[in-house]
Amino acid sequence: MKITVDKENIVKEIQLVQGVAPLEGKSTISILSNVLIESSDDKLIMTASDLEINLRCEIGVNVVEPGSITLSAKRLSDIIREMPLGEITFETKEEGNKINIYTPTALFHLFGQPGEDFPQFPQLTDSQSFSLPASIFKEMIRKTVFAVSRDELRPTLQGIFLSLSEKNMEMVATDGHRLSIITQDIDINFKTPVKLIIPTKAMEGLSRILEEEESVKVDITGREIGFTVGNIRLISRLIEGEFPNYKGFIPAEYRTKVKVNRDDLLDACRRVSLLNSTIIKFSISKDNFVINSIASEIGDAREELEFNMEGKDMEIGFKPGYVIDGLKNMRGDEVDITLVSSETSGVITSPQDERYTYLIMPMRIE
Amino acid sequence: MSYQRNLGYEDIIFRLDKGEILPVYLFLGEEEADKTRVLQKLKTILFPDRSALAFNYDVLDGEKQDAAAILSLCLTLPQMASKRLVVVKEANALPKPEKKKLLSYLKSPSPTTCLILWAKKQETDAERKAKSKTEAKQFTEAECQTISQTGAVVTFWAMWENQVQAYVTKLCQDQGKKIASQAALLLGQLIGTSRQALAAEVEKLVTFTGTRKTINVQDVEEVISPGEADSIFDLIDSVGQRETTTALKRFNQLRDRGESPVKILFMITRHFRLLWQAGLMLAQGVPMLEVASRLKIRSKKQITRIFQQTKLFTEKQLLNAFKTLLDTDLALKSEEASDLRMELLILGLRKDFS
Repeated sequence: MKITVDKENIVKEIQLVQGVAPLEGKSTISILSNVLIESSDDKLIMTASDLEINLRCEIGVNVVEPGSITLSAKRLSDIIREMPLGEITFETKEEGNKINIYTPTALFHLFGQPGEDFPQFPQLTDSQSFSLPASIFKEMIRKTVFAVSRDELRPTLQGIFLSLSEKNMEMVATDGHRLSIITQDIDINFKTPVKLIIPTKAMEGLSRILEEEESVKVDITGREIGFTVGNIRLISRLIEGEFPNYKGFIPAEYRTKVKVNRDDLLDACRRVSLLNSTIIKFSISKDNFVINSIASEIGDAREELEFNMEGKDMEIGFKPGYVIDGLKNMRGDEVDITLVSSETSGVITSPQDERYTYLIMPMRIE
Repeated sequence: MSYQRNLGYEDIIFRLDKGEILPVYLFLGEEEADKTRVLQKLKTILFPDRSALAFNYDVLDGEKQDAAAILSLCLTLPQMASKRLVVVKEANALPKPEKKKLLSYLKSPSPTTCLILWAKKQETDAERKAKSKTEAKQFTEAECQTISQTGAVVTFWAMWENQVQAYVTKLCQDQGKKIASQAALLLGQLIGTSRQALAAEVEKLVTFTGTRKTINVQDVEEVISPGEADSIFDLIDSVGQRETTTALKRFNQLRDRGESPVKILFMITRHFRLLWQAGLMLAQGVPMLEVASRLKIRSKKQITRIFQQTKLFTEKQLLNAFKTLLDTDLALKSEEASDLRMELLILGLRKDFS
């Protein structure tokens, strides 16, 4: 194999595939720490896989001689990042197990493994497909992925739940303590509604790929989901199991509704939680809206906010980190906090971000 | 130990059945299977709607989490359920300052949370002191006292041998099966007193018997882990074949693996009983297939071995063997030197055969 490519055309793609390849020593299959490099027909194809997620990038290059090799993904990424700007040549030696990567001034000799040993990139058959602007998809991921559970004992919560019907797409994530829901109108011709759980790593990888001006094509089969964005293809296995029925946890009505400036609330929560990162208390009455925290043996903090309210007075406790996460990911200057009781989940929405609902479980405030 | 509430497995099951769920439980002892069973029961009681489980149940690792993380979960209010359930595995590994914070919470715990501190076997103070500082992370008696003021300390003791049969029978009943008393006895003798191991074997037997309601001795013989069974049957085989040196060697191997002398004696006695019954039937002209059927032995290997060995013993030798087995049984129940008695038995059986 011998190819030449400009550094600027390859550096981002190498970082993307490196994000999928397991670190050396982290996988029992050592070749998975490598990236597969194949060249033919003026194309360079780079593939990485952890067997759950597979990523392939195609780049236009000058192919002098076609061929393939696999190289440590991290080492290759480090080398290309540090190479001087300009043209880089990749040239394999000795039956394809050794490669020279060089510029007019820098030269690296690297040992690799044969390309034939790398797992095959999966092909999706009998899939249902639709396309969506990448910017919408990216925002939906951003607004849900932070709420995904990191608990390995709860695999169905370790992914983003995607529900698709003919006219509506919904993404949901929860760690059992807060729930992040975003919906989007769509127009697809699926015969039946589709419900699936996509691993967090795949969604985080996809988010890095998505560029604002592009569109993403989504292919779904019973066990896998594929995303195509320009010359990049990502295929992920789906998480098996049933996502919990979250709809019953969203209060259908409220007794108290507070309208408050989003940034003011965010800053107040950050400040007050400096003394107690476990619980902050919202005290809402006709006269004032106070956020306070108490830390025994340290002291206490309180902050008052300008607000509008309707309904009854209310006191409720929340974990400040959860409130901050929701507010950070919400658009708009104002947010509405709707509450039923001090023992029922609070809901935060924004009039300027109508498709997004964020729900937080309350905490005991005795 | 004398705490305000110091419960065993049966006690906590009884109290849960009555609807008593305390804000905190400290799980001690080595019977992990029973701890899991109690946890399952709590989940079933607290979350009849399975969706509620996802939003009200948390499991933490005491080795990796601090008290603040645990307290944060304990202070979260349940949604669509009466209580939250928070489990701290390896709770004994919590560092002392974290444990202190947690115990402070336990003086006035959230009534809407059930916290389970899942610890390893409780050691005595003397045992704890004997260990290195890093290992000495069990709950002290004072800590247990604090927990028992608002919750309960539940110790999951290992069973006694005479409890095994009833336990196995109950396990089978819970899964809609009956087990013949001899089969339950045999299972206990082969597997021992570990509830976890017994539960695993019962699970296999339930699957093996399918729609059939009763589990019998043959099922146990066929399903039991081959490695375990083979070793014991190898010993029995050596005794039956009068290969005393090999028999003693195999006996000592089994003892090194922790097999109980009582269990080994039970298996040898059972084998001699089968030899006696097979010998009588063959002498009466009962066909071999019929003998196998009456003895309820379906294993070709086992029945072949029995037929071969019946030829090696006279009636008198077998009667003497039963007397020796009875003496050994009595001795095992009254003496300390059980290994010596068993070795004398193996040697004695050889003498009686000669």
